[in-house]
Amino acid sequence: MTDFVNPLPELTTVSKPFYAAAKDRKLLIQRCRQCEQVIFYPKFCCPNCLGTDLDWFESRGRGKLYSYTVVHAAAPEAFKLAIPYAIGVVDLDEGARMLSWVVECDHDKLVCDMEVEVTFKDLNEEVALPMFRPVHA
Amino acid sequence: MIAPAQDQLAIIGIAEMQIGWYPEMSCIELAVEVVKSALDDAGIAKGEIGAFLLVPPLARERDEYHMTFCRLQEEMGIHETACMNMQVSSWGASPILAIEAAGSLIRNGDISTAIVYNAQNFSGASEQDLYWYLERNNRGFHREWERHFGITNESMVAMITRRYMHETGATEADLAAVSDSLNQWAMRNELARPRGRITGKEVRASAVRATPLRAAEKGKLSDGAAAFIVTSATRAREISARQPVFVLGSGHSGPPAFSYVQKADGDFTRLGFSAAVSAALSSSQCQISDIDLFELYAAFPVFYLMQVEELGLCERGQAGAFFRDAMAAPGGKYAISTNGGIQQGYTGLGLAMSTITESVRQLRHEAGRRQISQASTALVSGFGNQMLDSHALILGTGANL
Repeated sequence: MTDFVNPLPELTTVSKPFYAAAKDRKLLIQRCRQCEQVIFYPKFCCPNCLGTDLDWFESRGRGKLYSYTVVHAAAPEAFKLAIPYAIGVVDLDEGARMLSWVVECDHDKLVCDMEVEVTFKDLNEEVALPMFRPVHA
Repeated sequence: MIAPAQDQLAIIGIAEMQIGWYPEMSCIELAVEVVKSALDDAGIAKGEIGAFLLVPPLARERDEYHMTFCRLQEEMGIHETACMNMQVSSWGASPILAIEAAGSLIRNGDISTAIVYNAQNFSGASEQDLYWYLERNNRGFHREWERHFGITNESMVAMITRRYMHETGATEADLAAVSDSLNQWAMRNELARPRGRITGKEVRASAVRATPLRAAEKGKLSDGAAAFIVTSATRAREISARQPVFVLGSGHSGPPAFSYVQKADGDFTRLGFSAAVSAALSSSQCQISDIDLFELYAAFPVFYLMQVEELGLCERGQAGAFFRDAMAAPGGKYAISTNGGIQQGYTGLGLAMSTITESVRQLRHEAGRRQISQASTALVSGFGNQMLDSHALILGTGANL
C-alpha cells in the first residue's frame, strides 16, 4: 500500500492546472466570473450561465466525509496492490463535493460526517492528487 | 381504473431462457432462440415484426455490433418487413425505454409491432472481452477526476449504502434480509440460477467486497436471454391469441448527471423514484393499492430498501424492518421481485428484461409456484445511468374493470 502509486488522471486543459496546483499544495475550486457560481468538478463552461470566463480560488482544504467505503475485493486490476483502500466523498466547506481517498486513518474508525482535511500525494514531477485525512482535535 | 384505450400498447408475447452457463452458444444463437419463442408465444408470424429493438449484451462487443447491424434479420430471414433496427441502451432502464420507443413508432404509424430482445453470454466472452467488461465497471466515472481513485460501480454503491445506513439507521442485518427475501423467490423460480439457499446468516458470513457490501448479495455471473413483443391494443386483439398485457401508464424522474458524486440534489439516500411512481399511477388512473405486484429493478440490496420506501409501502427508515418481517418474501403482504431479482443470477441487462417478462407471466397467471393469486396489475421499475434516472411502468390485464 505504501508503495502504491495511483494511475495518472487524464490531463486536459481543465484538469492540468488543477493537478499542477495540487503539486504546489493548493486545492483549487473553479468559480464563474460572470455569475459567481462555484463549479466542481472543474468544467469547460459554467453549467449555470454557460459563460467561459472561469477563475480558480483556493480551498481551505477542510470538509466533511459525506460517505466512504473500504475496498477489499471490488477493485479494478490496477488497484489490486492498493487493497484495502478507503474511498471517500468529501463535502468541502466552500460547497464543492469531490471523490478521493481517505488516508492516514484507521479504517475501522471512519464515520460519515467526520471532519477531514486535505493532504497531497505526489504521482510524478507535475502531478499530485488531493487526498483527505481525519482532523484530530 | 379505466379500460385500456384503443391506442394503448400491449405486450403479446414473451420468452426467457433458463439462466445458465452456455459457453458453446453465441449471443446470436441465444437471441434467435428467444425471438423465435416469443413469436410462438404470441402466435404470430415473423412478418408481423416491423422493428427490432436490441437491449445490448455486455462484454460482447462483437456480438453487440452484429446485432446492431441486423444480424438477426439475416439469420431469421426477416428482410422485407423489419424496416427498423436500433439499440436501446440506458442500462436498467433499457426495456422500459424500448417500450416507450416502440410506442412512438407504433403511434406514429411507422410500424405495427416491435420485438425487444436481449442476449447475454458472459461464458463465451474471451479473456480480453471480460477484461474490458470489468474495466467498463469503472468506465462510468470521470477520467479526469475519479478513476485514478480505483472507484467501480460496486464501491460507489457501497458508499451510497453507507450513507443510507447513516441517515436511516439501517443495519447490515437489514441489507442481508433483502437478499434472503429475494433468494426465497429465486428458489421458487425454475428459470433462475441462485447460489443455493442464501439466508441472512450466509450473507453476513460471506466475504466483504467493499464495506458494507458482501459477496453473497451479488448474483452469480450467468448467461441468459429474453424477448417480448409490443403492439397496439387494437392490433393485439386482431393478431394474438393470447391475453394481452396492456401498458397502462408510465412515469419518469430524476435529473441526470454523469457522476453519482455530482448527483443534482446531492442526496445519496433517495432515488427520486417517488415522482416517477406518482406520474405512472396518475397516467394509468391507478392507486398504489391497485398494484398487485412490484417487479423492481436493482442489482444491490440498498436500492430495494429505497424503492419500497419511495413507493410508500413503508415509512422512510422502516424498509429494513419491512424485509426482516418478511413482508416482501413469498407469502408476505407485498409481492416484490417475485422472480428473485438479483438473486436469480447476474445476466447483465437481462436483469431488467426479466422485470417485464415476470410481470407478464404473473398477469397471465402462468407463474407456477410463485403465482400471486388474482394478480391483474403490476408496477415495474427501471433505473438508468447508475440509478440516477427513475422509470416506473404500470402493466395490467384490465381484468379488475
